[in-house]
Amino acid sequence: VSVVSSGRLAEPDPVTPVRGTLGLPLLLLALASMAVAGYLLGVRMLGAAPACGPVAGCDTVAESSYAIVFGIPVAAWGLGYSAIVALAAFAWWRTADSRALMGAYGLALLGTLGVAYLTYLELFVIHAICIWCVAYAVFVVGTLAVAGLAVRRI
Amino acid sequence: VRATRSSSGPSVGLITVAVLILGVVVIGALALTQLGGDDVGDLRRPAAPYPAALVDGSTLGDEDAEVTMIVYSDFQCVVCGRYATEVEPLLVDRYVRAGTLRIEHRDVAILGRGSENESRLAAAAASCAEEQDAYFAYHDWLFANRNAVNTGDFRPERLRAIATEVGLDRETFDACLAGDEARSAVDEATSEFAGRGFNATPSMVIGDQQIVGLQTAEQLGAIIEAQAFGPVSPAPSP
Repeated sequence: VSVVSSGRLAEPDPVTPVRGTLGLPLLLLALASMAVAGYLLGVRMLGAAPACGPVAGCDTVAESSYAIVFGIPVAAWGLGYSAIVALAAFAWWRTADSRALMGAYGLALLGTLGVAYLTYLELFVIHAICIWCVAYAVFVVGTLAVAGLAVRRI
Repeated sequence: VRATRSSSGPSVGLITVAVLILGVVVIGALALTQLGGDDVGDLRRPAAPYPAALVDGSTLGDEDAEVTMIVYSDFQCVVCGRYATEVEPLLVDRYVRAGTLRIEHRDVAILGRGSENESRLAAAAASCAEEQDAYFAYHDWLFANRNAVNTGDFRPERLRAIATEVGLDRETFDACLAGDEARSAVDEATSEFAGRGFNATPSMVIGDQQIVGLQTAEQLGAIIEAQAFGPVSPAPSP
C-alpha cells in the first residue's frame, strides 16, 4: 500500500500480488541452484567425486575437461551466477524494483542458454549425464519460467 | 510504487533479444574454443618412464616380491591418470625398488561408449605397445594426452600418432591395433574386473584385499606393509 501526495490512502499496489506469488519462488529457485552449484564446487575442491546415486556419470562429467572454463570450475561459474540471480530475485521481492526483476529475467535467459549448451555437451560430447547438473539445469529453467511469468504480469 | 511499472526501462522484448544475441555469441565462442580443434599433432610428452630394470611387460617389480598388487585402470579415467602420475611413482620408489611389491596393470574399458569405444581402443593400443616392450612408455603418453572422455583423444589416428612418438614399429603396431587379439585381451580384463564386483576405476587388489577408488600412497603403503610384514601389533599398555 502506498501513500499518494494528496494524503489519501492509495489503492493497493497492483504489483504486490505478483511479487507475493512469484517473488519467493523465484528466490527459492535461485537458492536451490546455488546449493547444487555449491555442492559440486565443494566436492571438486575436496578432490572428491559427486555422489551420483543410482545414475552413474557424475564423475565422468566432473572429470571432463569441460568442467573447467577459463581456468575456473564450471561449478564456480554456476555458484556466482546463481548468487547474482538470487540477489536480483531478493531485491525484486523486497523492493518491487522492476529493474531487479528484469535483471533476474535476463540472467535466467542467459543461464538457460548456458545450461542448454552444457546439457548438449553431456549428451553428445561427454556421453554421460550428471544428475546434479540436470538438477541445476531444471532450477535455472524454472527460474526463467517464474521470472518470465512475473515479467508478463507487471 | 508506480516505479515498479515504469516503462522508462528497456522493454522485455528488447532485453530478450539482447540477451539471446549475447548468449549465442558467448556460448558460440566457448563452443569453438572447447570443440574446435584437437589435432593429432598436438601431443604432450609425459615425464620419463620407469627404469627398464623394473619393467616386465605391463608389470612393475620383482616376480618374487612379497606382495602383488593388481591395478584395474581405464585410460579415459582422470583419476586413473592421477594414480599413474602421482601415486604409483611413490609406490615404485618405496616398495617396488625394494623388492617388496609387484604391480600388475590390467587395462579395462568402462568409460567408453559403443563397441569401438575409446577406452577399449586405448587399452588395446597399450597392449599392442606391450608386444614391442613399450607398455609403460605408451601408457604414460596416453595419460599425458587425455583431455576428456569420449571426445576423440584416443581415436585410432591419434593412437597411431602416439605410437610414432613412442618409437614403435608402426607396421606391427597398426596391424595389432586393427586386429582382434588386443581387443579380446581388454574384454577379458574388463570381464575380470566386473567379475570381482568392481564398478569404478582405479580399483586394486592387494593380496586378499580389494580397494575401489583412488587412495594415497600412504594408504596403499599401509595395506602393502600389512600384507608383506603382517599387521602392526598395538603398543603394550602400561
